[in-house]
Amino acid sequence: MEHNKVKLRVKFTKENLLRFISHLDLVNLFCRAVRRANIPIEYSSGYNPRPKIGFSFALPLGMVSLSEYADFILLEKLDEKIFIESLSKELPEDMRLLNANYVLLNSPSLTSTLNLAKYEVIIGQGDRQGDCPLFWGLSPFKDKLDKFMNNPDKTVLHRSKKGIKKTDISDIIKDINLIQDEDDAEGIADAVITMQLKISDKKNIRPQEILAAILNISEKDILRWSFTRTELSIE
Amino acid sequence: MLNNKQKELKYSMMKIFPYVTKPGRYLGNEINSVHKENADVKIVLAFPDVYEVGMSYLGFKILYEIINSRTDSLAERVYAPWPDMLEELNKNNVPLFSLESWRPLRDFDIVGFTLQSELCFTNVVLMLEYSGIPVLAKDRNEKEPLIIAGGSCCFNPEPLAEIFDFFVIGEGEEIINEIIDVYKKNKDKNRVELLKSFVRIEGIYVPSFYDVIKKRIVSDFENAPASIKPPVPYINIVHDRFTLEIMRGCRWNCRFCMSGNTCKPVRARSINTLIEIGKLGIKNTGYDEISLLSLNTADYKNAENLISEFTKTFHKDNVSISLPSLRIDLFSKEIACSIRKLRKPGLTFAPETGTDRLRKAINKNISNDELFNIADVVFDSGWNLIKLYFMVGLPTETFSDVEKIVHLIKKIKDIGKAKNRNVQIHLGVAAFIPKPHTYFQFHSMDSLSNLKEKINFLIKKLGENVKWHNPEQSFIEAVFARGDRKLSACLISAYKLGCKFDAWNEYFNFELWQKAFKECSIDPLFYLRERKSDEVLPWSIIKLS
Repeated sequence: MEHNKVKLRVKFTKENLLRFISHLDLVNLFCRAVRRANIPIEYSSGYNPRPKIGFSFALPLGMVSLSEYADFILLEKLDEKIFIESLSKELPEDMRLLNANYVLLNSPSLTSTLNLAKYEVIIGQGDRQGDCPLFWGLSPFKDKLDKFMNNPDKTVLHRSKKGIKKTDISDIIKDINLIQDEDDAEGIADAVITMQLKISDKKNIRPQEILAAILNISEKDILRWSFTRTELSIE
Repeated sequence: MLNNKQKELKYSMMKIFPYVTKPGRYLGNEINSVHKENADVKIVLAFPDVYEVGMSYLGFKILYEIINSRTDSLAERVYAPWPDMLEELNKNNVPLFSLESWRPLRDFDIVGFTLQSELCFTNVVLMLEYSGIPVLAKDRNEKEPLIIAGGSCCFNPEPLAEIFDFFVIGEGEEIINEIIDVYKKNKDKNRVELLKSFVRIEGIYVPSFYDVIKKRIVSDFENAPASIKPPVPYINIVHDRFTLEIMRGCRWNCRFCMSGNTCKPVRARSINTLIEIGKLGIKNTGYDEISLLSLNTADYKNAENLISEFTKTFHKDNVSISLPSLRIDLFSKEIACSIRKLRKPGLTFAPETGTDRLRKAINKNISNDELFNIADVVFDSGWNLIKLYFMVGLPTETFSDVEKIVHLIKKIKDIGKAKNRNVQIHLGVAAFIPKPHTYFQFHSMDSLSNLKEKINFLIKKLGENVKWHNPEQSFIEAVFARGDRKLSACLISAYKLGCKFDAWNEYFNFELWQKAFKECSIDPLFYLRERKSDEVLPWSIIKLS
């Protein structure tokens, strides 16, 4: 039976309310969904067998993603559309399976291949002027971003388990921009900050932390903004 | 589909979620949660503790499915928000809302609490306050929902008699349908007439109409509705597995045990029915573990057969079986054999005492020698971990009985050593509470200082493998378990002083409780004293048979 095993790489979203469950919760969610859908999946061996599903780097809690990936080790080849249909039936509506493609069984893991992430941060969404203490107009933001990107020294303070330390993120941050929408009917513009960051298991700094450090805003305040990971890809 | 008001609340809450721990507690929308727009009778099942604890409660899973299976009723859920969320709700002026529809509790017809522990009572007050619902029954009018309670603490309902409109005594599967039927027929009547209409239902205690109440049981347990499609949480909860009851009641008459008495008679489900329930449950939830519940698993006729059928049916799909309760004296090589397939790290037993004499006094008739034989079998069967539960403060107990617990543990460790094994013995110690409807109900509770001395002794002698219940928490439990109506006002005082989440060490505050007792001019020791045999007990209005 061994030679029938296949690896199916699935792209999915994590949206809306589901942004508030953790990566581990997501893993459990998939394990149970796969069981309910009766997907012929391989199990790990040992004391506590679990369905073999591999993931890319954990999405931070509180973030929406339109581009997540998971690898399923199946015991037999299923039609991709049928897989998506049957598993989707068992998933909550705030999660969509976008596509599924078979990859080589021995292809490198998701964590070792996907290393570039694009983020969109919507400033002031739902927080119109009176509401949002951070909305002093966009030019201060634009200035801080430009200043940071033009500065060869890109160190930020990073809070890790070991404490607070200065970290150089010049190798992580590829691009950061502020895009302003045209003024809407009320004369107020929505603004979007886009970020392109490299991700790896060695330097794992959350985009919220990075943006907070660059704009000199507390992380507590930055939680008001809506962060979305729009793409996970290979650099 | 949510209406505008509900959508507004949802979006406000989404702005709050980044600021609280485990926002997963408040999302709802779990697989198997039921969303109905409307129904003649709208019930919200309220668990007075946090989501992770409340979601494990089997009783609510059963009721949720029964109520939602009717076209004329709907059931939603609400759990006590954690204090950091309470702060946010306060700050943003948001009332407590149900998970399924973001609906304030006020908008339901009936709010049904379950009372599993006296330490959750302050959270009942908390949840009513956060819902803008008057806490005292007499202050509620036709615009407010009926506030009712069920669960094991209802076997002495008096301490909460001024708060709840009525109590359900005993098992709920059949009575819930009667409650819905009666409510439908009488909901347009005024409050007093509405409550009066429930008096006729056997097993319901309406405090404003004093009467003797007989507990309800489900006689056809084999065919009673089991939970087969419970909501599956997104976050980790306590006992995160599919749960089904194999048996109710217990044939042993341990003198301290309230459950044994209140859950009689013994009723069991057949293996075939249990397997069917298990299959449906796994299909609907996707869980990888089934827990078989009863008060004493080994008492199930053909327990070995039950275990082997379950392992045969479910192991091939990588679903494991868990058996929480096992009584020592029925443990044998045969049971050990069948359990071995269950992949348990260790086994749990409850000797309760260190000496044969004291064990006999509480009618748990097993000797230390038998216990040693069992330890022998357990170690021979391959397990290295035994968990043992004990109580301190039992009637006729002397300090020497407590000292003998240490000897017992040492002897069991020696048995393991003789087999060249590094065995671990973990202990659980709790203070004995003389509970209502037990042989010891007239007995007094041991003093707080004695209890502390005994527990500290065991911790000193046995070290970090001792898990112990704070005797001050047991003190409060006991006061309310043995209390009367005067305690309702005291409970509200305690809440107003800041008591909440009393089952949690980080929130339990004994000084505040003592302040509350003082404020209400109540001596809590009055409830813990010995009762005379001709004394009328507050819980004597409840008849078990």
